[in-house]
Amino acid sequence: MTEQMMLLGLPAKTWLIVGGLYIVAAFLPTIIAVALSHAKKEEDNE
Amino acid sequence: MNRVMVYMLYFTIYTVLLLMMGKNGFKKTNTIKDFCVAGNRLGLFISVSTFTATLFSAVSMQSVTGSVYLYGYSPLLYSVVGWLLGCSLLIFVANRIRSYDIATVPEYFRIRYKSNGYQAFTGMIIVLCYILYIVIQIKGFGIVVSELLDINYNVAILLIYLFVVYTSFGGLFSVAKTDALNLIMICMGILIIAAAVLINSGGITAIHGNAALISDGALLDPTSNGFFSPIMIITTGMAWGLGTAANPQYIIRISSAKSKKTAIKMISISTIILSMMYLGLVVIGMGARAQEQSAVPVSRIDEMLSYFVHNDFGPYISGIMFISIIAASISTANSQLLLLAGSFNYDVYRNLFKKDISNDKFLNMNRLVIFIAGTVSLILSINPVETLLIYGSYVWSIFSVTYLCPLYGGLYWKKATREGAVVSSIAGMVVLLFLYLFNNISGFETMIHPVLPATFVSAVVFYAVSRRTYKQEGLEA
Repeated sequence: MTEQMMLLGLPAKTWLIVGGLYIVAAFLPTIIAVALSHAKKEEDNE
Repeated sequence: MNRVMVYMLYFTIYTVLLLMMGKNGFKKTNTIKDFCVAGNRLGLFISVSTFTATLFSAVSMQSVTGSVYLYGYSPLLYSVVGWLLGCSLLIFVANRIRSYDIATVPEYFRIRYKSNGYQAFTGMIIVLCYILYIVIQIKGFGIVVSELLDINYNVAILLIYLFVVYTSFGGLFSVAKTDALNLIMICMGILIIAAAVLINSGGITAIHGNAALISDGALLDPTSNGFFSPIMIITTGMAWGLGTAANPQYIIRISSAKSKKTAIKMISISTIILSMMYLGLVVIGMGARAQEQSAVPVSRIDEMLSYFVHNDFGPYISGIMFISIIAASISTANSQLLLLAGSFNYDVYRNLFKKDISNDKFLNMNRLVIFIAGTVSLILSINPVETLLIYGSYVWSIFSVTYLCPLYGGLYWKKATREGAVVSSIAGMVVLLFLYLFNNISGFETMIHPVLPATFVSAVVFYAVSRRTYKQEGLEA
């Protein structure tokens, strides 16, 4: 454990895998909603 | 004031508030549409409240906290991340399904695939799945109330009748209103206990420092030092995610929102709120374990939260957490009871036998079915399942294999046909059942959750049969 890079006592690998996926999952609906809204605006403009 | 007296006081206040909030719905509910989808006129605040409170169930509250306590961060990957990713897919449903004027999700299937039989079949899936799933909520409620009021578990689960049946009787208006109260209670409980754990433990770094000393740092590893295989984590996460993405209780909230824009905002905002609530549970679970070092002697991991809160906090703080667990159980159970009653009467009875049923008769029949289905779930809860998180993933799998392809395929693929939808649902169910029995009877554990191959088969069958029958329909035309 001591050889690993830590942040707030948690290994970087866990931050990356668990934390990364968690953040992506939390904000993905918002990202998709914005993307769909932009796609619709472009479609309407055409 | 002694502990039981404080708990009883909290419980009484909560009960009075719940009854008051639930009463409003009775006045507003006059038609089938009012009962099933709140007249398609829920605003953003109520929509977010009901979506969030429904998704955040007793499984979330007790099983996630207990699993983090026992295994560390890895359960987040096979449960919470799956649920949140499932919400992302719901945005695609919200983008299209609002163009259909529906009271239930099976009604969408009837309109899209022009089949009354398929509406009845998918309606019965809802009835079956939710009776099984409500068992989880009753168990969650029973564990807490038996601890809270110091009464027997079987007596405690009887109490849920009063709450769930009452709030469901008023239709979605009642459920949504009480969900707003339940969400506030849940957030309060998590916030207070998480803050107390952080203060008692000396902060998140100290919690991680102590957790690193347990089981060679397994709690801080994404696979619990190999205790869970990556394939098990991914496939169980997918079981939950796909089950969420195809789950009628979330899709119907898309319909009950007052507009498509409100529905999309509801999902986006709710997912962010949910992610913060789960973080609170992580702090509680990890903090509790770091404090105790060795796992507490509870018979089931779902009881860890009650045990910890009861033993480590005074009654004024622990009482709030207990009420929030009750709120999580009720907010999910009443929603599911409402949906299953609506489906039985609207998608099966009215659809197949009595098309001209009056609004009053429909509402009364719904209340009768709510009572009967609640009773069946109650009886099943007397000897509940061992681990809520795994049991729940199997129930959700049924929605994945029967609803997912016909739902998304129907919305986004014009060549999707009735034959493709029906055969894919049946094929998915058969494969799921076969793999479930194979795993349990043979004792051969594949580590792959059955939902993955079953959904794959369902998708292939949906595509192949739709392609074939669409061409035939074209030739006949």
